[in-house]
Amino acid sequence: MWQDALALLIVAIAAGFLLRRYAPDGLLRFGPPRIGHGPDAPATLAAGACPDCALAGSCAKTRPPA
Amino acid sequence: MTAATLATNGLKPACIALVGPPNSGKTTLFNTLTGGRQKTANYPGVTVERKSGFLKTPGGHAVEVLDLPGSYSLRARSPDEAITRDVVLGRQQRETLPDAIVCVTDATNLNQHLRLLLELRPLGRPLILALNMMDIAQRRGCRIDTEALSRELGIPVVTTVAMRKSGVRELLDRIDALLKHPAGDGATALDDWQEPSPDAIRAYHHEVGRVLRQAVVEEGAPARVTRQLDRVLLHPIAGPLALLALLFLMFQAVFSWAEAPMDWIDGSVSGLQQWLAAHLPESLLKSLLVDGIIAGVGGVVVFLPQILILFFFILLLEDSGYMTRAAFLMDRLMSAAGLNGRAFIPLLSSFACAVPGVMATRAIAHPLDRLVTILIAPLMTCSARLPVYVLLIAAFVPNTAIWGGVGLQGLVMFGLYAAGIVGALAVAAVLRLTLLKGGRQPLLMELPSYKWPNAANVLLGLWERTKIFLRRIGTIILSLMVILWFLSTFPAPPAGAAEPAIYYSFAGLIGRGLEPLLAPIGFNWQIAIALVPGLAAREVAVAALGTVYALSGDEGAVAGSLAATLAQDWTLATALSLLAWYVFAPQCLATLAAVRRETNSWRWAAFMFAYLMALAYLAALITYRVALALGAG
Repeated sequence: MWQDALALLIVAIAAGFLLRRYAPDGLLRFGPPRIGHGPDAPATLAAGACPDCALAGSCAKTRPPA
Repeated sequence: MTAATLATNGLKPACIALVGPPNSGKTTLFNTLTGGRQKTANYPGVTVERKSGFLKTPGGHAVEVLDLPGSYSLRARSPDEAITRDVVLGRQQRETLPDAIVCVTDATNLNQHLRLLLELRPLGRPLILALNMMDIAQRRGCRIDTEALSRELGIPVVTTVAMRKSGVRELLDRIDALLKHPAGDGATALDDWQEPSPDAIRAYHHEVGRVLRQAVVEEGAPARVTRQLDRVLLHPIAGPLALLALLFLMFQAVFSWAEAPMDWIDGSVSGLQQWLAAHLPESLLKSLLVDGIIAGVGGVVVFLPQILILFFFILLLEDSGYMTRAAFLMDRLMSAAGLNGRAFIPLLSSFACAVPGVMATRAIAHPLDRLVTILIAPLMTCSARLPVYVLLIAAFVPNTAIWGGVGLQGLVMFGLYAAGIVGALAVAAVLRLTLLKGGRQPLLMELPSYKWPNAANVLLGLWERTKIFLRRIGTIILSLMVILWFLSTFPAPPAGAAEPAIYYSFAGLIGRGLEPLLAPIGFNWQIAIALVPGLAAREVAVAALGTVYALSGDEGAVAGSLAATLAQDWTLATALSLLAWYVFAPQCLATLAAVRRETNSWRWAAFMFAYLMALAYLAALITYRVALALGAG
């Protein structure tokens, strides 16, 4: 049934979203980092994490530079 | 205009830093210049990190504007002031030296505010003085000769009213003029910079006095309304009573005003749920939509009106200037618990969300004072707890009036908020006596004049809260509910199973696994299931309960409200125990991550998680046992 397949696809998408959000930075990312989220995040971004962003400490822009 | 737009146009933006003492209107000017929507309020310490935005001047210059935390001096004493000092001196990593500095000052308070400008002047950077809030200064009869001020200071002076966008064009013209004739990089002056000594600061104060004698034609009267209001609101007896009355009114309104919009949202969600249940063929998709997504997400979205009413009051108080008075009134109580007076603002921010609250502790100078404040910030009742409290109060506390019209539900809500505050003060006192001794500093905070709250600010604040709430529902909560539905649906129950299907599922397995641990505090396996996804964010537990009861085959959970289902299924003792749990439980990953970042250590985040979890369990255990003993089982 296509309805069952669609329900399972929605589950897979939700799981991917949560893993991307809560897994440590870089673990589940492929290709170039999104603007403002990679280790080469431009210096114009805020020094701290954005309020209410659950990415918080796993976001590269919140890390002190090496 | 964005950085990307500028990049496509091949423009490298010049950098202008907005610098000034706290509460001088830098962020309002920043929002006016860049079209940004950064939070503003009538109290010091709202901005604790650097923010940036972009604009194009009338002269065609692309400009990046930096909004920096407020500071009275380059002699930084707290992490947020250190950010300002380092950016201005070009010492901040990943940050270029600003091409020019706009020093924003409150025109009604030049005596205190001009010192920073005098400290900036020897750096040799292009500098403009923006005399902000000129309308208020003029209303008080203050007259400033800006030409004389400019002559005495040797820099351009512009008058602005950032809130009304007045004087902005002149400021941009001045910026254009500075950028046309760029100064040198000022490297020598910056390299030679040394923190001003106490003697140098005294000399700056004398110089401020001299400059003002030349430039201020009439000083104007101090704010009369502010003085009269403060006579009552800062009175040792009337002041705390007024504060209590205000908070009490706020919680009464949260219940009484929200009823109609909540009923409307609830009706719409139930209607959609029933329509889908009637029209979709039996399939996994139908179960996912009806029992998983709508039962879960719909159970949380209904609390939007109450969250907005609470923030309406908070925004009014912030914009009016009352919040610093509340900090002043609370100082004696807070210092008795070993807290720095400046902790009030971060703790206040934590009523919205602990993450900005933890970040706002950057305004606290002493590391130990700051650490204590960070560790107790999650005990303030954040807006994510509101859905849990409202759900359980609506289910178990009768909607009756006591003591001449005071609503019992509002009173219980007030008590839960008070329990969080008392818990925070008690934990702070214990930490001060044990792990974190020393480092206490007195409160020194400027009391701003009262102002009429700005309607646009309040509406913008409410809109931002709505967006944050709906974004969380549409992302984290929705995703967690989909996963919870999956875990609650698979594997299928065995043939001839006597219990509902969820009982045999992965989620049921987890719930039954946790049940022995949670049974002493009165939690059943359904609550145990809801607490697991609720670790990500507190309000997720409400959505999870909706999904769990819908999948338990409870018709009431599908057709009616979740509150009615819980009222039937739980005892009063269990409900009270869960409320006590939520006063303390550290169920928020974002807060733990923020604590790790701000303390630069997982150790303190782990310590906070452990002590809050232990407190939650203990509070729930005592509440449950006492309730049982009183016959609430």
